[in-house]
Amino acid sequence: MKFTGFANPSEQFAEKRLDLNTLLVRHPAATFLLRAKGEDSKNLGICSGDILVVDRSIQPGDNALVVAAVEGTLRLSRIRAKNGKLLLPIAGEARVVGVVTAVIHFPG
Amino acid sequence: MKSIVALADCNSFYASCERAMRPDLDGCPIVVLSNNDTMVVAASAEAKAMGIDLGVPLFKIQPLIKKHGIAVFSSNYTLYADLSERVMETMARFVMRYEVYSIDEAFLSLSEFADLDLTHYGKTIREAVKREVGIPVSVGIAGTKTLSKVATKVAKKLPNGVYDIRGNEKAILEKFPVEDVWGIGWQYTKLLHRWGVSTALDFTRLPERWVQKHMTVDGLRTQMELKGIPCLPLQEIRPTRKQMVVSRGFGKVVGVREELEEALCDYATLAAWKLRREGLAAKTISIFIMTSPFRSGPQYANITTARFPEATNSTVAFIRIIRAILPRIYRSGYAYRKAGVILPELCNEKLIQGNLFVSFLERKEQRLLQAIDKINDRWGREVVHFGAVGLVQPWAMRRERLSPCFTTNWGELPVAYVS
Repeated sequence: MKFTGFANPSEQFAEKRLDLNTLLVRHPAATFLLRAKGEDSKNLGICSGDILVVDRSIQPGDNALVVAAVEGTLRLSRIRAKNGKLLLPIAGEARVVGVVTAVIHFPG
Repeated sequence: MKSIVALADCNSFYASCERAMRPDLDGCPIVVLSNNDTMVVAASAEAKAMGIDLGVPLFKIQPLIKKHGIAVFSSNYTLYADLSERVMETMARFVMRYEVYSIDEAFLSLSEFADLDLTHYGKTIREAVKREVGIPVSVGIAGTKTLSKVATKVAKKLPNGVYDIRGNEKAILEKFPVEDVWGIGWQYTKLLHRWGVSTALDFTRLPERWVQKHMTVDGLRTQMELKGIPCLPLQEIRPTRKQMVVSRGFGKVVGVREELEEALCDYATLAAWKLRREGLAAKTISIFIMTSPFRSGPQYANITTARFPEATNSTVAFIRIIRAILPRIYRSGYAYRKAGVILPELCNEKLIQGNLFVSFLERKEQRLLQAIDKINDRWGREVVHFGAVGLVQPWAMRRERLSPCFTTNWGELPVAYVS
């Protein structure tokens, strides 16, 4: 005689295990990962070495954390509303590359 | 429903990929080199304006590079493949049917949107790809695929990058050189020039019977398409791959058999991995080795083919057979410059004729390969590999100016500065 075991009673409750991609990446084709570098910034909530999830498909709103192209480098900045206009508090020419939608931080 | 098709073509695709995350290269001339860094395979608009043509050897443009500070890159196909997929996914959002025609071109069906202002719609698609992936594209809109190719050439010269040729076909084709028409090769060009046909419009006026007689039914299709009659439907499903070739030139001359063997095993490893990923298996394998016809010295090239006992996509089987058959064609005393693996007969791996006697060893081998694939998918290709491909790889392709694979490698992410 051979026992094959009981059917698993919890089987019908099984769901797919959580996948961080579903939480962190809303638009896969437009999402790029960047690495933060420089001095830790309490103001921006970013530490050097953090991985930034950058979505290029969404429009930045007021207070959005963005990656901007400034004088040939990529820099982190926060959008500020001034007189109804959204501005980057950066001197010189700046172009928004994408919005940081999540920050992955590994505690040291 | 009247057919309307757009061709979306990335501008200087490889060069655009190189600057997608490099704002310091905005407006800077860029060239991308072929395998082994020998010649230019792509150039940005700025570089082209300086007179750099595709195919020119690197050494010839060294003075220009110095003078203008041109950014030079080895080809980074890993990066281009990923950004290409992103471009296609982004464009796919805007249409119901499309055909990926090459790494940097797609035909998009716009028939379903005939009531819209299609120039405006084209601009919307173009702006989305530019903003979301960072790659500029040009869009040509027409009634047929062949005409959309013509329209895209016009679009590339316009500041907004979009051109709808419908209604203006005659005026454009009148000035469009027949040799630039999609599907007309240099041999037909010679023939047509002999007959006094120099523009695409001249070509549309040739009698159909003449075209079919001299240029087969394919030539006739091209002619009909130029006249606005669609003959080439969108191929939405990519045909299953029928063969695979992995071949590279060496970074240096190779003379000894062991190094040739390493290189061939390395190419076979890549081929086998691609087969497994695509669910295919090879029935036969050919390997070739050759000296360079562009160099002095004794010349030699040869190819040999072997049949697997059973269709396979196992790296182990490939390595085993390469070691067995290379001595058939290897001759010492030659300066080899190139080798390759060709898999001319592929089949679906599920259709491998069931061999009742699949040995215990082979099943173990399959599990091993699955494990290797898993590790390499996670940690980067070739983190784990067979010793047969060599550790030092002195023959490896020269890629001295390779940019980071910033979308596929954790160690090569672009940097954003906190300030």
